[in-house]
Amino acid sequence: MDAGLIAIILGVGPAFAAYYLTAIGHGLFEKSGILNLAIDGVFTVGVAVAYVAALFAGAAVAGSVAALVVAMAFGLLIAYLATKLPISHGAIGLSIMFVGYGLAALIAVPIRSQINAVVSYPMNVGVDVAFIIFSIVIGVLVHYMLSRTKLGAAIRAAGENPHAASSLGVNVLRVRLIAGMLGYALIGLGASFYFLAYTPAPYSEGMGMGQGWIAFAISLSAGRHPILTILSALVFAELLYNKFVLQGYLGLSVHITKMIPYLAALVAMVIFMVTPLKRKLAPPRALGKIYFKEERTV
Amino acid sequence: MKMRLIVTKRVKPLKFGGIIIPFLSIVVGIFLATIALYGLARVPPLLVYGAIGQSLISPQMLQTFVMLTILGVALIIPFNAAVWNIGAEGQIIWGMIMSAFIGLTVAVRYIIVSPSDLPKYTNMPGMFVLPTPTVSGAYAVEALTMNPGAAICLMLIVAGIAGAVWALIAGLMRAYLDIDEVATTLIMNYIAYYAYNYIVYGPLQGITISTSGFGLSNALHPALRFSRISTATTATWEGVALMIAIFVIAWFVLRQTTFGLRLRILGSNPQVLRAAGINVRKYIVLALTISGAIAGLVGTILFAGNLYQLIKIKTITTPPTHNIGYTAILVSWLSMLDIRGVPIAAYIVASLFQAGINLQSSLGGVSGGSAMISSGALTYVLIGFVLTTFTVLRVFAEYSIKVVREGR
Amino acid sequence: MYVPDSGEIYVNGKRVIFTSPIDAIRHGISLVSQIPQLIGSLTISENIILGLERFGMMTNIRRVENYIREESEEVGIKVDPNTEVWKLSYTQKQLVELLRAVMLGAKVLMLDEAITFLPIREKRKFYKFMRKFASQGGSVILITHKIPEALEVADRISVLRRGKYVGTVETRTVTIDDVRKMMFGERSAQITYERLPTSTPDDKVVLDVRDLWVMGDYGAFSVKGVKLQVRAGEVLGIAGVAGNGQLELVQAIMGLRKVSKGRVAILANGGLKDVTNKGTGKVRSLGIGYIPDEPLKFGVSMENNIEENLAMLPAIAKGIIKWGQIRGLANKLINEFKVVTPSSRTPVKLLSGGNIMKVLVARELSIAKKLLVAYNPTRALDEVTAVMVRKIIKEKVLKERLAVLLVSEDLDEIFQVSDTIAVMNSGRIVKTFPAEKAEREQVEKLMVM
Repeated sequence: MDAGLIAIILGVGPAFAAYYLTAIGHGLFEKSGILNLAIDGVFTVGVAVAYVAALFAGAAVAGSVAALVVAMAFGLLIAYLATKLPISHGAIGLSIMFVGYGLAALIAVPIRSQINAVVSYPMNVGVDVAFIIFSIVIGVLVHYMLSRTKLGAAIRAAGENPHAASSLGVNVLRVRLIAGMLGYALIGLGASFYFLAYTPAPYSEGMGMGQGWIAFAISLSAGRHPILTILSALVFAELLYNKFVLQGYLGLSVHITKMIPYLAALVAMVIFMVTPLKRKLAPPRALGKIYFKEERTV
Repeated sequence: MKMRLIVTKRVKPLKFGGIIIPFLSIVVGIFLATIALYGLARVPPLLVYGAIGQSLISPQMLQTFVMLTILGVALIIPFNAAVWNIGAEGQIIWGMIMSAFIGLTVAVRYIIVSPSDLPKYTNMPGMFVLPTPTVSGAYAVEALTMNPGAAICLMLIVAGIAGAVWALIAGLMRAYLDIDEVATTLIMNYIAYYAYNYIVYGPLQGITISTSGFGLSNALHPALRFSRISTATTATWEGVALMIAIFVIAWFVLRQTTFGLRLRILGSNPQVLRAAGINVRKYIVLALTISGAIAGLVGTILFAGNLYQLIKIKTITTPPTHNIGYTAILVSWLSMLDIRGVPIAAYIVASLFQAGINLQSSLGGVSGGSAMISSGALTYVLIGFVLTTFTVLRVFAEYSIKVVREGR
Repeated sequence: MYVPDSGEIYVNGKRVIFTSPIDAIRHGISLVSQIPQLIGSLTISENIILGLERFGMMTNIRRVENYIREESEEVGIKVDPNTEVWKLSYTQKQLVELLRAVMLGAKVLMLDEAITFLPIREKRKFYKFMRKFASQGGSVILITHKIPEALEVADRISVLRRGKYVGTVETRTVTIDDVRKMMFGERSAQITYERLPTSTPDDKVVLDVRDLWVMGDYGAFSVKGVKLQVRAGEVLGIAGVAGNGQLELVQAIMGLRKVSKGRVAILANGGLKDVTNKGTGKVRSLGIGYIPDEPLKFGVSMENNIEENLAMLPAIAKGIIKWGQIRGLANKLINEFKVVTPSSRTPVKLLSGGNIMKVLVARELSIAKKLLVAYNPTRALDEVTAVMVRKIIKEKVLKERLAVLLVSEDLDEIFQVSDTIAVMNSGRIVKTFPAEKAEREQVEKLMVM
């Protein structure tokens, strides 16, 4: 293989890292039983925060850290409200999505109109590889945490049946707060990579919007499984990053290519529900269900 | 001493909760939005209040109001049954595509004329000359193939069917495979967006040099366009008539038929329906299908009433619907799922929509770059905060929260 | 799970207040109930470790597997801790519950009908374990309605009747009959209520159930080969202690639960029509009234008013609702059953439990043309109203030749209304009597054996 082709293939690194981290963050949070419809709004905020923070600190890493922290705060808020109050997860998620869309513009647009510069991660093959390795290491850690540790068992228990989990000894609120914090930290990190490494261009309003939903689809099409998500994220990132190459190869319309992640997610959802994969990859039973005992303390 | 908050379900719902809570949410939500606007972008609060006040009496918001009322009705039908249709966007898009298909291919035929013959057609009744020439240099003229009234009816019927079918897919998946409709309807919006783009670059792309390959369809024949109420608004007589008809029919169905009654019971207690011998799956599918059909009609209103042309979606976040399918979710929630509340909620949300536009235009003189913020983003801030506040405050309609002091 | 309204609990002489199951566990009290509380998609070790506070959140579960394996051998249970719980049989799940209780450091084990559903061979294992647990200084509280079981394992037997403590006896000193008398009280020999007039059934069979097998919720058969017939003008009363398959039987007849084997047929157009697994809609369309168990969950919609709860049924309204007519019916039923309500448009959730029950019974009786299937129809009612409802039911049987399948945990009710009495125990109809010849003592014995 010639170096050019390798560069093209590895060039997907930043895109992969952005989608993959966001997708596993989403999967981790939903495993705890909270329907996560705020993802796209918070992703958009993450992009705006990453842009502003990196610019002011003069370092891309600062952008990532800031996006991570801000997203984490959103995660805690959503987890708290959806667990403590008898409110619809869909309602709170979509509401916060709207807030996120709006806040992103308020945070970044005024600054963009005064400063015309971008601080981003360096772009070369070495960095691309580093992004791939870094995100896969995180993915393996998340998988280990979810499948092997007591915390992971508690998160899954809270997502499967919070009432039973509570009687087994799980503090559902605490576990969901942890899941919200960790999940959204990854979403924030993914958003920062999306902007600072994958598409580092002067900020324009609405940057990142819709990308959260792509990650949402990537996560669903892999049944929220962190290791399987590597595959689906890689495929979708290649599709998006190298969409023009693919068009040439397969003669597919660019619009159909872009549709593929969503179609795949839909097909995967059907497959997970009608085949034996259901046991492993079906959505958590209590996903989106209001967790409320007749009387409780806040 | 330790304080605890205790949340308990009210035996009786809060008195006037259906009015107090939405009203309070709007006030608190707007207040929070002004804080965010001032804190992050130095937008003076007075400008915000001014823009909102102005929008409440603005005729420009009428078209938004019409569409939001129809969509609000479309959404509370499944919402009453606890079936969450987040897919109005996709259903509207398919309504638009199919309206365009009827309006641009079935209801008209194209006569290709050389530039020298053009004057003959320009003033001929029933003929519509497309403004730019075709690739070959000739001009294209749209000639009606059917009665315009019949064509408009056909557009509406086909758009309704298209929206219904799109929603039906999610309905079947929910009813028979138990796949969450929130995720499927949402994902299907994006599939619809890309299908729309594929179609405006493909089957329905225009034949003139300014449209073909530019992601634009031909323009709709003027005889097939809805008629504007006045020049001050984009609202149309047909749109208003549809709104009234849909509202009345939906009210009748929800309140006066066993179908509507059972839908409402499905939302709170599906087991009762099962024990009564009612096929719950059928109701889930029907709720989504009807909802999709009505949303599909909005596609026609948008296409034949406002846009007259399919225009490509440049970025996925700026569809020709202006995300009204999502905004309508806010309308149906604010109505507390009571159909009588839908027009009121639609009025408030349409005002907030308009307020974003008004605010944007009054930001020109403000320093600090906030003038660059789009009206869409300003609308998101307003709507987002109102919606979030409402979602949280809504709890109080059915639950009471008490503070308990505990001695330790 | 519940916090007492009054009274005190002492553990080792110290007064305690439990506000959650965890509190009780911390004091060494563990409960294993009839229904496994485990999470199916988690493994055995995961289910157990969640309650063990000495392991931190980041503990690797694989590392504790050996520990769990050792503990389970100690207890005498052989399970691979790495198995997901959904793969286990009901017996194995109960074993895991027990293991979990022991590992949580239980000093007092409460078994609430926990082994009632188990096959006899498995029960013996449990008995052995209980003895061992007790000999090592633990205490076991076994809650059961089977007197022979209590006699076999217990040292002492305490009897509770309708929430009240009756007494405690030493097992060695008593016989089955002594305990039965304590359970059913002084009334056990005589009939308290005046029997309602007996109806002579017609020859016409309305409900015919043959060799019916129905699965329960936890993977074991709850109904095992039930055969029964109800004729026009007959009340068939099914007596039995709760949890012996009555609920599943009724649900299967109504098409709400899948029939694994056997047949349910209902009279239609002069002949018996097979309705097995045809769905509730089909059954209901033949003119069947149904008063379900848990009426607040399955019988009425709490958010809706009385009129809406009537109009909901296909037998009462179709297509466009004529609210005037519905209101007329509602008011008629309200008067007839003396329902206390501000109006027919009051949301049902604002009524008292007894009045909700009256609405339900009234509605179902008004649509029952051929057959009424009722599960504990008078449980939430005061005695006077209960007798009134029974009289109304019996009147319909006598005058309109309605057939009634009455399942009740209340023996008085069974004896008061039934023309034929069948006793159900462990998923089987153990005996059927004509009501006049049925002896209460004999029925009781069959119920608790």
